[in-house]
Amino acid sequence: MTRQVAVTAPPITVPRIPISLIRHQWLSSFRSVVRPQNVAGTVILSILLVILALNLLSLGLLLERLLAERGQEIDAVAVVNGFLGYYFVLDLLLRLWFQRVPGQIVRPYLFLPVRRSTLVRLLLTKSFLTLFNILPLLLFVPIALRVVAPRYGIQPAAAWTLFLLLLLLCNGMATLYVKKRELTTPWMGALVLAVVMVIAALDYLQLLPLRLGSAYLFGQVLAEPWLVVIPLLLLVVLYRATSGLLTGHLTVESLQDPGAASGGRFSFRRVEELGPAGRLIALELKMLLRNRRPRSVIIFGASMIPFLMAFEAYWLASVPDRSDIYPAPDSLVLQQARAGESDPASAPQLKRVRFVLQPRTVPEDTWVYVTGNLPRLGMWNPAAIPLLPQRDGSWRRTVMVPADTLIEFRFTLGSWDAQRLPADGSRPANSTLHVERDTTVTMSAERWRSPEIFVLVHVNMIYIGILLSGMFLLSYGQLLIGWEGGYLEGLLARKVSLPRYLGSKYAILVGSIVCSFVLTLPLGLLKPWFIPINGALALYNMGVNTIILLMVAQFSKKPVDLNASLFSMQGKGSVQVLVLAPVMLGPLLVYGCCALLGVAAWTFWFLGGLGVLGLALYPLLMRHIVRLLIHRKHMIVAAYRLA
Amino acid sequence: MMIEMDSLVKSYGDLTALEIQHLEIPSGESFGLVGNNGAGKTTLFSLVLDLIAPTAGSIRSRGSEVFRSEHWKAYTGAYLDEKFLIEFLTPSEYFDFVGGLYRVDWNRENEFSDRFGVFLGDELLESTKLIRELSKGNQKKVGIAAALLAHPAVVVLDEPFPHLDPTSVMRLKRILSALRADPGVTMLISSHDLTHVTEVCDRVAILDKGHIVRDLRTDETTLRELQEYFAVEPD
Repeated sequence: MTRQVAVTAPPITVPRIPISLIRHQWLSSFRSVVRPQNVAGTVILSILLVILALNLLSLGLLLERLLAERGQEIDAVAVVNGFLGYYFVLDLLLRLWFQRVPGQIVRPYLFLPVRRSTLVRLLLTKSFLTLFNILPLLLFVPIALRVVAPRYGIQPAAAWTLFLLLLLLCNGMATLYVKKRELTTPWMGALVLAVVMVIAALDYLQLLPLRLGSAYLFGQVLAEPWLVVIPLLLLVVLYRATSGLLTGHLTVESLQDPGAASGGRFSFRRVEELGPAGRLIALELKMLLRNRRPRSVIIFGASMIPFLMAFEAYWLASVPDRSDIYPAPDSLVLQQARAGESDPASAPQLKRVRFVLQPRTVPEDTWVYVTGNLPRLGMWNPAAIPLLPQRDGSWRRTVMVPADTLIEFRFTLGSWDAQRLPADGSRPANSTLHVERDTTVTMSAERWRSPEIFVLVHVNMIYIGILLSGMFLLSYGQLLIGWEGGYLEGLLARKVSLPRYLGSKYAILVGSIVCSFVLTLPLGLLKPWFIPINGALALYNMGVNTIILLMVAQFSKKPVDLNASLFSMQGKGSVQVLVLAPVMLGPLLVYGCCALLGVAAWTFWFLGGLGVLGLALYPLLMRHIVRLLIHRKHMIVAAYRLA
Repeated sequence: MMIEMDSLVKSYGDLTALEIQHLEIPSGESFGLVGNNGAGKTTLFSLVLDLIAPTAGSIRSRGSEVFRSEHWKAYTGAYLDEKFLIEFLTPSEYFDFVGGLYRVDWNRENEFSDRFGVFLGDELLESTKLIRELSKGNQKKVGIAAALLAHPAVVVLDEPFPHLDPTSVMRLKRILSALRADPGVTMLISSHDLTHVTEVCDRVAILDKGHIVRDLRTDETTLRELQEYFAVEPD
């Protein structure tokens, strides 16, 4: 009897344990991040994180201006609310792939007299601190302060922010629950992604407007701040469910990350049959598929492709086709001619301003309008005052303007979109004129120059293009030899020829570029000339960037832990981080040179040409790289042994 | 002469890890290396396998420098530690891979399983577990079998006995004794276990702080001599 009582009420009351547990967490993160031997890497990582944070922050702050400068009367809050739906769906998706159950942190305490519920609480609290919850706040809080609060007041804005934060936490908790129930399979991720893409497509075709639904939902939160209670309740329910699940199975086995288990068992027989090089390639492919870290590199790379494609599509949509390019009136040089004697009989306070567009300045099948800063100029309504086509092909319109005023004006094709705004959202400058007497403003196409907007578009297309075909190239090639850290000695001491070893790496890099390029071909449906441009960048990746990465890999100093997480800095020294600079900036440098020489449009030809040159010189370059490896291999092995 | 070393020095900064004036290992000999931790046994083997570069001196295998030519790789089989294993393969995939490098089909004609079937055990040969999921002892068995798979003329094994269960130690000794009897096989084996090493080697050298201090032909007195050398002075 007494014994049973002892069992049901175990004498475990160690109140100070939770505090020391939290202290341990602090120490563990502090001692692993600030590791003196990797100062450079840590500094660079911190800089990258700060840049990312600043980017989000400035996007949050600038959002309203960006929207306003599109010149449309848009409700910025509605736009933000419309996209939030997408954000949370994608957030959930990314979490399912990448958020880990931080099981390792409680392992050392499992056999100590600490209550399970305490450990579970520690686990779940720690899981709140993931970057998935922190980074979005850098975006949401500035938006709440700058966009929402001025329109709806402080209190609704605070409720709105809280609502978003709670939803983030719900997503996190739901992810843990699903992972713990082992409801995730690789196919599920693909399925969810497919569903998201279908929703996006339906939204785009305006069949099922998720954006409207999301705008309505989050708009309601602003109207009725008490709705915050709903995600709060949801969070409580999810928390209780997850903590119940965890408390039930708190064993070493159940805490193991399922991602670390063996995974796919493709044997790549076909590849192996290609001969000695094939066997090395097959080994590399097995390494990529059977280990947690390279697998998440692949998944991450593949899942970035749709995002990058969407991003690229946005830029492409803002670029006129070659046939679309017309001499936008704003970029013309203003030729102002005084119209002789003014008529003293006309009303003294009004002056005549005659706008004339010379023949062939206006694209066919369009109508030109003028708009400006006065009521008589349409108060910037882009379709208020049409110009009238003349028999000689010119367009004219006369407007009466009060004397001695400074007018600002601009020509449009009827809407601000048709004005062909620069892609960065800024406007071309307004034309200004101080009206003292009757004036004729004549615009001619003679001194037309190429609009500057292409610079920004080109730069964006270059780096997105490099990423589109090179996402895997960069994340895998960055570590290249380090991936074999665990068994490099075994390869070097056996009959593995070094040219073949490096050749198999090269083959995998090139293969990944080809695969990614094929995946991005659908963008060609949007703008056909996208295909040759991205093809040129893929060639550049193949011919130049692969060689750079193969060379830099020789300076590898740390073996890669195949089971580390995706964003781990493990195995990356300053060299591995710095190599990304030439890889990303090289093409921009080429563009800069071309632009300075006035042949910016040839950049893609040059880049593609460099790629072809690299491919043609491959045997020569490879011989050099092999010699480098023969020279460096002892240093690599020695460094790996020390690591 | 199979392996020859001359005025071989390996130093890390000011610290000399290994210094060997002259060492010859004739073809067909099985050469044992004993020494305490840090004596330089693994360093010596790594030099023989060209995994580290000598600070000075030369190592020749069949007359050619190991760090100039790669010919030695074709007839050398080695297992130093887990870094030779590929953790994400199953044992049979690993044997496939290693066999493929030497163009040996280990699965054909049961030759491999005749030699190692008992040592590895069927459960290891047919295992669907990845090497990283095996115990240390089983990992070592896989590594040793892979080193011997392609009938190498030179066998280099660093500490083959620890982590193995008693039965496997017996079986491994039997395999190594058979190799010792084969005049075409030269073996280099290091060990902390004086008994084991005297049982499978024709010759045992003691390495101490990077120097070879004894070089003995194995006979009945060798074990006692070794034990005396390493004996701790009584309190």
